[in-house]
Amino acid sequence: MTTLATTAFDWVRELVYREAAIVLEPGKEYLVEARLTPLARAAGKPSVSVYVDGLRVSRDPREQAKIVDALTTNETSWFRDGAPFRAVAEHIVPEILRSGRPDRVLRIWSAASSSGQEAYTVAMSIQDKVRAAGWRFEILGTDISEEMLTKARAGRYSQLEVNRGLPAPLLVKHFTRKGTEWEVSPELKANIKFQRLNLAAPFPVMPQFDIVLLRNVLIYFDTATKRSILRRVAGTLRPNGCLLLGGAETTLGVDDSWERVLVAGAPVHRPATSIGSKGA
Amino acid sequence: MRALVIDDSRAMRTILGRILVGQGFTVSEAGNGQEALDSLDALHAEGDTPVLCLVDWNMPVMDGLTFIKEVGKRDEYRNITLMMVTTESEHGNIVRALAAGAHEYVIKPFTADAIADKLALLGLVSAEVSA
Amino acid sequence: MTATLAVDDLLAIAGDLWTSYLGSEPTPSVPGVGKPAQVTASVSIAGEWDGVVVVSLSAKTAQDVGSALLQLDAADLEPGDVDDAVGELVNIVGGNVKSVLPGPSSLSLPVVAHGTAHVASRGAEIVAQAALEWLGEHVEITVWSSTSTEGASS
Ligand SMILES: C[S@@+](CC[C@H](N)C(=O)[O-])C[C@H]1O[C@@H](n2cnc3c(N)ncnc32)[C@H](O)[C@@H]1O
Repeated sequence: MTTLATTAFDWVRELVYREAAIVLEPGKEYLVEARLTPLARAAGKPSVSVYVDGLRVSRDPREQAKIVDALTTNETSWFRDGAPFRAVAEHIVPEILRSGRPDRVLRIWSAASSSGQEAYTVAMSIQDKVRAAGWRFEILGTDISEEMLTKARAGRYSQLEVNRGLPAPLLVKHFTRKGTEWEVSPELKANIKFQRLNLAAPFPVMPQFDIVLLRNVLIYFDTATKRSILRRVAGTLRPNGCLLLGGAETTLGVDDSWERVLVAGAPVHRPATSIGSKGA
Repeated sequence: MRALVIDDSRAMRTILGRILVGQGFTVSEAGNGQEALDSLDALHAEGDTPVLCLVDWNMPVMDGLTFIKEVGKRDEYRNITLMMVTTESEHGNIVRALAAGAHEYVIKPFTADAIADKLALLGLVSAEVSA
Repeated sequence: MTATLAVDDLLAIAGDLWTSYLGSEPTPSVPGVGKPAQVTASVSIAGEWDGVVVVSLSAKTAQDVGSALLQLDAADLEPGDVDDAVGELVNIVGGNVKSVLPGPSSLSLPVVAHGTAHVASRGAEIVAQAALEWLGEHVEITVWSSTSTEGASS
């Protein structure tokens, strides 16, 4: 029962494009209807159209932020697709640890961290190696959704969520039961910080990263936005740093300043200049 | 690839069996640990030893934890991947099952994706790339 | 030890269970409003904490659970299928409830009774009770404690 008025749909489309660069194709009325119904209800409005009409007048920024939040897709899981995380833990990180760099700090960015599984997955899979080498690591998780950031910081997951791809030995090693949920150990949390960051807007001042995970988020953007994000991400990478994308994402035909190599079966992207500088 | 689903509930065996068939397995079923051991022996004799057992914990006659320990004593079953699928969900029980020889652990209720994720993790099926 | 089990815990467990196997989420309801239950499934918990977890539902809901779990039309269900499915349902609720309560304890195999059964025994008291509405029918989950020696302090 799509009763969503075209004017309301167009207004929402423009809002999420302007605020988050998320592209909602015509035909996604059902999605907007479904995702905004709870917000309309909470605001005491009889329908999504009426709710949106009210906002077109009031422009309440808090409600607008909630709309953007509601229209992000936050689907994620532990060790999503497997290979990228094996590449990080078994190849990329050990190589950096061997480099004998004097700072002895590994910096990793989970650039669309959703509820945090990606950031915690990296932490769980590198922690022992990094410590054994006498290094430390810092992971920054960022997302546009405040709701997801709150969840990521709490590090509490339902039974259904821990069932999704988290190996049982790691579950018992890093989590404790809290009622019906499981909570990540304080030890693991200590190396991870979550903060809000809009990929489509200029980045704040950030450290240089060894590894950036920008996974399953470019798919929501148009080519110009993808290109702009990839360029700015390149600027946050250390020389020879690595970028990992989602399984359906590529730099090809978007931004050609990247070299793609397969590491343990996972495509890893490096700024072309850093490879060029080594004479390759 | 043969898999053995061990659960005292026919409904649960059906749910798990369907998921495994969807992942390319040929599925046998057993209603408790003892039946499962008999079934393993019969399949082994036919040269069709399962590569995977999904094992419930609480069952009549022989429970899943005992079954896992029994399988661990038998050299011919060394290569079988043992995955507990149970409503037992205390931290301590998961530790016990892993110590007894379980390779993976899924807590009920689970979704089909959860089983598929774990099978990929164990290298039994290739990881599906998700968008 | 004092049991710490909230109605919200029961609703969370039921929510996960329903979304995983039963296709649609139930909505929370108020205990005691439905017709008397026709099917009562229970498991008991024994050990550090002693008590019983009971799921009570209508005959129609029990059949819907059987159809959903086995993915069969009601007409194609074999004798025993409905009890089996409802038994598995209470087994899953029971295991999850047990993990929230003080342990270690063990879980019994499920028992399914027809007719308006009286599950509670002497000295038992309700620790938590949640009611759900699913496909227009009323379902109740009740956790009875048989260790009523301690006060309800926290
Ligand atoms: C599908 S999730 C991917 C999570 C994780 N990286 C993974 O691969 O499983 C996409 C995330 O991107 C976030 N997102 C969408 N648009 C964004 C933007 N403009 N800036 C930052 N994050 C954004 C969403 O809130 C959502 O949590």
